Amino acid sequence: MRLLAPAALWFAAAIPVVILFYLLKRKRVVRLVSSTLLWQKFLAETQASAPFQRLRHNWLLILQLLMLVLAIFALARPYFSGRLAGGNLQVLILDASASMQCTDETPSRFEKARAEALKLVNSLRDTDRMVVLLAAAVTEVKQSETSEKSLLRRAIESCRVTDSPTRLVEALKMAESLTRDKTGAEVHLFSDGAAPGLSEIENKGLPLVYHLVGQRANNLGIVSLDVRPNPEDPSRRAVFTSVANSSPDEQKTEIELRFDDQLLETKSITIPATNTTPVVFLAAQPRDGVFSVRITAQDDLAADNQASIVSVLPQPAKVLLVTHGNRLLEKALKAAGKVELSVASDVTESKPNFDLVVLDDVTPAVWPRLNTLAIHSMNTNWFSSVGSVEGPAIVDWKSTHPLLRFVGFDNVAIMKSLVVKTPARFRRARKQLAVPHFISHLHRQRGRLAEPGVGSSQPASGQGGRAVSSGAQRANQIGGSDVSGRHQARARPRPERAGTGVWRHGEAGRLSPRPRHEPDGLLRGPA
Amino acid sequence: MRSGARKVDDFRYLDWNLYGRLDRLFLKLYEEERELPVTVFLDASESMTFGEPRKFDFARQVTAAVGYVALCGFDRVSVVTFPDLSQEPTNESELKTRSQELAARGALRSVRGRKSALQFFQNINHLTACGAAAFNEALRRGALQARQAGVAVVLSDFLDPAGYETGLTALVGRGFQVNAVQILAPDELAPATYGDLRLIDSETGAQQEVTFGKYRLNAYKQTVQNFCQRLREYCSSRGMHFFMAGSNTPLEELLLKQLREAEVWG
Repeated sequence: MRLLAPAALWFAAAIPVVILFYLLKRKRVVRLVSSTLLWQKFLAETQASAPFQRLRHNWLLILQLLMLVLAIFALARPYFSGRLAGGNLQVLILDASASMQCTDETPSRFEKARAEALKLVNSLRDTDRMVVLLAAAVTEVKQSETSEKSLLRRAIESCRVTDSPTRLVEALKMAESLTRDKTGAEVHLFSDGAAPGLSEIENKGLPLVYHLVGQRANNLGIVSLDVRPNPEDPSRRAVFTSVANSSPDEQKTEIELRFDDQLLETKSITIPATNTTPVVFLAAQPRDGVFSVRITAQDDLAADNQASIVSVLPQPAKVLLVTHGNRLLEKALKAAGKVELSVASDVTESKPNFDLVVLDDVTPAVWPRLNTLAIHSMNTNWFSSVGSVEGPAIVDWKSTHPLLRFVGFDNVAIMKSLVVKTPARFRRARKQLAVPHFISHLHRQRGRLAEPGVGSSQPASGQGGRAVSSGAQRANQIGGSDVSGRHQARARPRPERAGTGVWRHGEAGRLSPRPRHEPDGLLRGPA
Repeated sequence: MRSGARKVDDFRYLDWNLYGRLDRLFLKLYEEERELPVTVFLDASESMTFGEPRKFDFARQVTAAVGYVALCGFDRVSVVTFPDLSQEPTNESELKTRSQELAARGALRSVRGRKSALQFFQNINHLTACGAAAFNEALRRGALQARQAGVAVVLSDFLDPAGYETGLTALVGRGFQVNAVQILAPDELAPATYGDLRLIDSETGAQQEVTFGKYRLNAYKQTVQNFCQRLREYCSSRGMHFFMAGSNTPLEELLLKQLREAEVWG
């Protein structure tokens, strides 16, 4: 045996101090004797060894000295040199998703998983090493590879459950990279198993030890929520939501709709086992506010029993019509409803507050930096006309584009169309059969829609032409789509992620991913 | 002595001195022994009050026994009690007790005759022990005051810090046949009190700190044995008899065995 820290043996200097304390702290019993003569002679004869003989058979002193010696010995860190096999690597993954808040375990799934993880740490051998990963929306390395149990315990104690979904695949891939080519390595996963995409890591030969927490799936959850104008009555709002039942039994519950904490309506619904039921509320909205839906049933996970969404009243669209006189177009724009139409004969940069500028047979010297619909504005250098086509058929259009969301081209016939060659930065919105095309151009930076004009042309070779959409048809549809677009833009910060703007009750202003229903019936955000 | 010798009488028993003076034959029928002074030096210091039974009680019993044997043998018995009474009485009862003890001490200075035995015992009973011993001084003064040397019996624990050599030497020098009897209490021979002790001397008031345990008992016994052995050797080297007794020793053991074996009496 050798010592790693032999300098710690200097602490042995504390031993005489302990003995000194015992010599000094004695309380003597006074006793009257006939004569001290014999005692004096006795002490004189035994004086040489008397100081140490005083301490004989003092068990307290012996125990204290023994503990001191052991402490000094431990500080010196003794070790035996020999051949021992290296410790195994253990990767501990703790699932911190929202479903781990379920209370079917006591006190919760996450606390149960934490307790079992601590037991695993305690059972480690001194030579074993462990990595602690916390798997939430992002996999976090709580503790890098170490054999210090105190560090591992501290790392596990610092883990907190989140409201986010779990990307277990990411954590398992990290564990796989850590354990690759290491014999005896193990990956311990503490989870309830409610994680998508696990098929990605199938057949990877991962040395996975799965510690299941959770006993049942007794949960009702709101998995979607959206607010839209009621198509039948624009003065009312339609609140679309859906409730998922993850339990194997049919569940009944009441679902409440509140607007700014004021109860508007309550419905009783029955949800079949492992199924999702949509619910639609129709409610008047007097002002901007927050719609909240809440299910009253008691289940194991309370976090998904309520959801809220901000709803903003639609504002009238300000449209500037630049024309030399087109009453038909004016009437068409006014008929769209909730449109503040202004008519001008020229475009100036001093009118920046319009939501849409419609150019009718006007070619501005400087194009406005606004959403612009140009009709019959040929003289532009955007396109180079290569010909015309008679009666082209419309075969497809981008119905998912915000501008074309409510536009249909089924009953639109085009008499004659130009064939133009579009720059590469343009995006094709519609596709026509037999080469001729409509083009709708959405300028990415300036966000304007341009139509060079309507005419007849032949398709160009190579890239193929892109035609401009029909101005009349677009004008007939623009009111509804624009209003909807404004609402969407306000309710959802990113239009391309339409439908994701769900706020939970009590968390106004914080954007959370929209929960959705997973195969196990638990609430999950988008993976 | 019978006058007129007969033919059957042994010539050796004729007193020829009287025949020369009186011109008559006298036959000696017995030999009259001379009076033997027996002096008992009784240590009545404070240290003799310790022990269970008390060392002083044991010493008084020995004094009474020796004195009674001497009185029965028509010897003169003198009991010298030391130290002297120095403490003045503070109340009436102490004055009476002190007076009785002074009277007893005076009466015990010289006792003769078997008939005085009862009074002798009563006087011994009135003796008390207190004060510091001053062993050497007491024996030296006793040796000087003795008109005639005889048998001296010294009853003490010999635990005087000043030693015992001077006093014993004075007795031997005066011509006494000294018999030293050392009386120690059982607790002095083998203490039963252990731990961290502060011991106070009953006579001098001196303090001595000592840590004592069973593990040191044998060492203590060895110290006591060494002390007694030195006293024994001192006595033997000067023709004195030495006897050692604990205060719990049966009296017969000392009187009928040890003293008889030493031929202190027949």
